[in-house]
Amino acid sequence: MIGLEKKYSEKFDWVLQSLASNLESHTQGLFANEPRIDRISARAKSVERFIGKANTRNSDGSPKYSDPLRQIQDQIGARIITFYRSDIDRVSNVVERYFKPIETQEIVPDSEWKFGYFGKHYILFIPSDVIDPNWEKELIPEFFELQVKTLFEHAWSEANHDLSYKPEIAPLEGDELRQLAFTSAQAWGADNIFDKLFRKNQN
Amino acid sequence: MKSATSYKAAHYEDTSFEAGFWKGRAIDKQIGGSEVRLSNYWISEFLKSDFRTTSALGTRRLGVALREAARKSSDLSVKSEIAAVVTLASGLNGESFSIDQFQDRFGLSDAAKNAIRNELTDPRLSSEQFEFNLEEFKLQVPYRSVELDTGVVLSAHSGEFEEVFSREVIDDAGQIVRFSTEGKVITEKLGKAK
Repeated sequence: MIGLEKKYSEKFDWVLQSLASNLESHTQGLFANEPRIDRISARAKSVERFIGKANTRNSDGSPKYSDPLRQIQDQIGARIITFYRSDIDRVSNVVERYFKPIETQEIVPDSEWKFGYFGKHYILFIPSDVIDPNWEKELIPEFFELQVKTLFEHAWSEANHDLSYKPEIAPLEGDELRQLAFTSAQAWGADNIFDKLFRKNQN
Repeated sequence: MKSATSYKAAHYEDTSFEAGFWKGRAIDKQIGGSEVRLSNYWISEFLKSDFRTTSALGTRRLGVALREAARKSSDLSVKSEIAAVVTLASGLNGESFSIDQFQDRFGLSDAAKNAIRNELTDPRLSSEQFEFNLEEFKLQVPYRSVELDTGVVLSAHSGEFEEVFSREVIDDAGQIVRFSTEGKVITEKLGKAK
């Protein structure tokens, strides 16, 4: 694992950080004329988070990734945050116009009786435009993950991640989890109301 | 291979069978009359593949490079060559080619090719294949303008410029031109001086 950490650290320092910055500028250029976009950002996955993910195991205890440097596809992650839910489809059309999707996923809680994470995720080819010809080919990832979310979906997922996934704090339980689900339901409701008012003004 | 001059070939590679996404290069020498285009049915239906660059992104790259090369060049013949290919490009919708092949097809001079290549973030982008998308091209190069030394600026949709303006050279040196056009006046504006 030390070998993997060293390899990823080199990749992170030499390529991933600059690549994320190039991708952010490139994507911002493509969306320059699109309204109601709060922000477009891209980041390289930190060494700590990459190693954490590389160590993930399946339910039978076997390692989830046999070749994490190639199999983990969100080494570069990007986000487009929109004002309203109606904007998601419009933004998605532009994404699919300029990028090649390998996977597309609408992530919603698995039951209508549950609330939690909402978001649209893509795995996309990294466009040649953002690749520096001087980089070592082996260090350049093929794909990146793009999340398209509303402001409320983004706010909820950031706070949820901060509160739920820190190894140094005790895991949330029982009513605490229900409280998180409640805030997700409130964010979902706020998105619905804002979108309804927005669409009324459009007509 | 039955013929050394008429064939199709493809080469794919990757370092991993399990985690890799195979990338390839293809040559199509069986298209009659033109070496520029790859036949789309062969790429998508036979090889079950697709271009890495989307139609809109490839066309945007080309359009932006043409627009910026024409804007930045101080060489009038380069500007004029680029303006001409912008007009001719409107007949290419749906065809597949690279920026290099586009330039060769219209016989651009080395000066014009260099001006266009200088506007790409990486010179290697000029060899990437894509399907030309006229709608996207018009977004990137919507108007073609000609400015005369009298201060007059003529502009029209890039694909229609040659149709709406007729040009006549009226001196022996070929320097002075007369443009003429016809149409109904829709609006007149006063603008700030440049």
